[in-house]
Amino acid sequence: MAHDSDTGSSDLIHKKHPIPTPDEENIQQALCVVWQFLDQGQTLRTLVEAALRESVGEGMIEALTNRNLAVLEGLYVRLTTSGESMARDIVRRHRLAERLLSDVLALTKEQIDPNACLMEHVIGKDVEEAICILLGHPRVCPHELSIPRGKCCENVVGQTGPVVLPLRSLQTGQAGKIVYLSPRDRSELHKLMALGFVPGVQIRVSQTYPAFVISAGETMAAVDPVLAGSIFIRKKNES
Amino acid sequence: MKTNREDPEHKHLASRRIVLVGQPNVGKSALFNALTGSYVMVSNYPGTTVDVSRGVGRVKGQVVEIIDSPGINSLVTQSDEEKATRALLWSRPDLLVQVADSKNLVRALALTLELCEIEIPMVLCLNMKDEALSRGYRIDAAGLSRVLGIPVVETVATTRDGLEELEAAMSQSCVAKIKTSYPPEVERDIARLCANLPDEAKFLGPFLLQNHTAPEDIGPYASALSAQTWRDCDESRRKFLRPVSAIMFESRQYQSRLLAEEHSQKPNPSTDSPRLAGALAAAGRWTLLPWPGFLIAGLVLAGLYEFVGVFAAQVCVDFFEDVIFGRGINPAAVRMVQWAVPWAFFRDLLVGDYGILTMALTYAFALILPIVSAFFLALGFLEDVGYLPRLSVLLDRFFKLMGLNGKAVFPMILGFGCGTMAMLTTRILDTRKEKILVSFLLALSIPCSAQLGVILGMAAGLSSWVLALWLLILTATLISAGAVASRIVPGGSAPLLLEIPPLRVPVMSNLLKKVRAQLWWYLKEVVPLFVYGTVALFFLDRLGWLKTIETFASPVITGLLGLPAEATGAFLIGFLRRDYGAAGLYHLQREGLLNLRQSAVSIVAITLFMPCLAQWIMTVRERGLKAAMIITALVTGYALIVSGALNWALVAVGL
Repeated sequence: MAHDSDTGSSDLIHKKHPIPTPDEENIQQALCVVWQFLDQGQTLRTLVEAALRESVGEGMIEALTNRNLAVLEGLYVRLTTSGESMARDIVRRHRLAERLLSDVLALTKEQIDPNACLMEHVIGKDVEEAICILLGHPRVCPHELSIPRGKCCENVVGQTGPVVLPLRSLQTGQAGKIVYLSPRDRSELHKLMALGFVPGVQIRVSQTYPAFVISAGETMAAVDPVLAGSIFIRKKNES
Repeated sequence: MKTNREDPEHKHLASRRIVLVGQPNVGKSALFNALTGSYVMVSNYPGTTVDVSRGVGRVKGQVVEIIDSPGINSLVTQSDEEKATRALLWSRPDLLVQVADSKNLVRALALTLELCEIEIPMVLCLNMKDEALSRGYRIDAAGLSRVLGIPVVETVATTRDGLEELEAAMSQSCVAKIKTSYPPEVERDIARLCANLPDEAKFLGPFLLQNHTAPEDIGPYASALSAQTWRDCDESRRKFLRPVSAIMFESRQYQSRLLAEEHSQKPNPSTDSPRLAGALAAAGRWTLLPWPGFLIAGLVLAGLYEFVGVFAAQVCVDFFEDVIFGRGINPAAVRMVQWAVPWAFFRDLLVGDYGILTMALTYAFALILPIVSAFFLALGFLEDVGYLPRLSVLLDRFFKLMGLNGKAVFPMILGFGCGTMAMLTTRILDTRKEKILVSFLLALSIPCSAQLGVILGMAAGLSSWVLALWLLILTATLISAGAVASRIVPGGSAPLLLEIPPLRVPVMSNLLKKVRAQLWWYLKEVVPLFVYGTVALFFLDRLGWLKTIETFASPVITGLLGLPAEATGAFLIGFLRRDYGAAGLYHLQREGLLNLRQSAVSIVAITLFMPCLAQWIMTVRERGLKAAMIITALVTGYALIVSGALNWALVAVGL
């Protein structure tokens, strides 16, 4: 919302919402690695351990088993239920972060992975969901690995594509919230806002030809496709 | 009529000055009439009340001056309406009455919050309470009043419901106590701006920060502001990534939404709307959709043509011209003048070929008055119904071809009735470029109803391909001239952004009063133009200049256009009154002086040729002399080239 009040000093935030300690980060990192192996059907302890040593550090298998996140079954490694759900979350956050960095923020290939590694540890559950919705519940990361599905994805059947789009690409009957307005000049911006079409307002498209007819509450207005291209809408979930 | 615009007398009588402000289509003018007992414009098309009307009314026995301002959505936006309203507010009236649509409380309150900032005692009048109630809205006016700190009254202006409460509220109004809370950074900048403002202009702080226009926009206060203030404004605006105005708009909108949620109940979506409202809503949807919208548009335009072009322009005009004036008034006037005026010169000036009575007043009353009345009536009806914005939506893409948008449909359609009226309505267009384009196209290719009648009459006697050819040339001219001109004329075109009011059943008494006001305007402003034009023509004729011009022009007429020399006079008179030019040609055709080719060339030439004197004067008034001269030159040149080319082509194919 436009009304972000002062949230206080940054120390306060950290006390309320602690950022993960290096230990925790390593555990998350390790889970991530193990998940990748299990995902491809590789469960040999020696292989997993080698990979962990290379990308995280020594003794990670022990650290995982000590915390009851993984168990060793002879030559093989298996994740426990709690380990699997944690791994799933962290992988999902990592791969969503990759998508965000590449699709929306348009970083180069080299920048994506290191930044995603940093982000995965600080993204909260709600932010993760918001990113997933923003990106239109993507199925795969930029490296073509599958993104574990979250709660938000289950509600959406077959919806693909981004959720924030220009009004121009909406269809008759669709509804959504205005996210931002970027008309060519200020007087158009003022006119739109004065009619009550400001960010946060729910609108409905009642027709798209010959011009777009949109309504917000009791106000109905017509805009041509040019202006409709500069009004950005967060599409309402059709479910 | 009680409304008086220039009468200074009531200013002394009136103890207080009250300004009505509000969004378009909220019944502001209806309330104005209810309060003053007089009438101006009430219409459904956003932006027709550009003129500010003043009236005198009584509030609790006190005589007050009441001013009806044009509809606005915000003080910040830029259009003629907002400029006029701002100017009224800067004159610091004693009281503001914000008239609002009860159905649309959020938008109304957003404007309320903006108006509160200028610290004038205020009353919020929630009008159209009946419509809101029938749709299930419930508003807690008392609660709103407590929060805003100003009286809040619910009214129905058309039935005078709640007017007593409004008058009571007007006498206990006060400056609002509510303040919009903006983000802290914005608040800081407003405070800094206000610190540098002189006391009498402190209230301008928030306005200055979001208004990006020149100093003349704040009228009397411009001189009181220091250069430091303007620098502060610039600096603040640069600090924010987004326009400050947008941030402030959003804050107000957010707050008004909270207020509305707290103090009103939204209708239950499942509630059935009354049958009439349901039918109107359905009709409202159909008129906007391509199907059946275009069919409806076709029927409406055909109806408009039948009423104005056939009933008024032919049946009524024939009756007035031939019977009332031709056999009644004019012969009597001629006898009177011949008996009473001994000098031949003055006799001719009054009743001669170019006489004030026989030409100017006959034209004005017998020919134009019936057409204009019918047109005002038909158009006023469509306005009050709320149909015109819908037509704009349907035809937007067609007008885009000419670098215009759908709003241009209003002056263009009026142009088929009377080009002079049409010129007046070019004010509703957004940019200067669009205004010039429409003025140009009106002058070039839109025949007025008077002319249309004669042209159709001429074409009727010929084969139908003449009419088809004429239509083809006009349409091609309209689109190509528009497309070319829109690339040449500097400036931008505004994209279409148009509020669409709901369809309503018009109140006939309001409509008739409005037409009366418009006809009064016509008599006062346009009829004198005919008199001046006729007098000018009379002197041209007397001094022999008319003959001289004819001699100069005839090579063009006979050579380039291949018409008989007698046609020159018709074209000259055509400048005074378009249809008289056409009528002159019609006369020649009936005498057998025009063959098929000449008839075809002459109807094309007279349509494309100059508009009438009244329209030309209006073009000068609205666009300035320079633009009018350029338009004249272009139109004349184009008309000659196209008619000449047509003549040459028809000769070439052996006609």
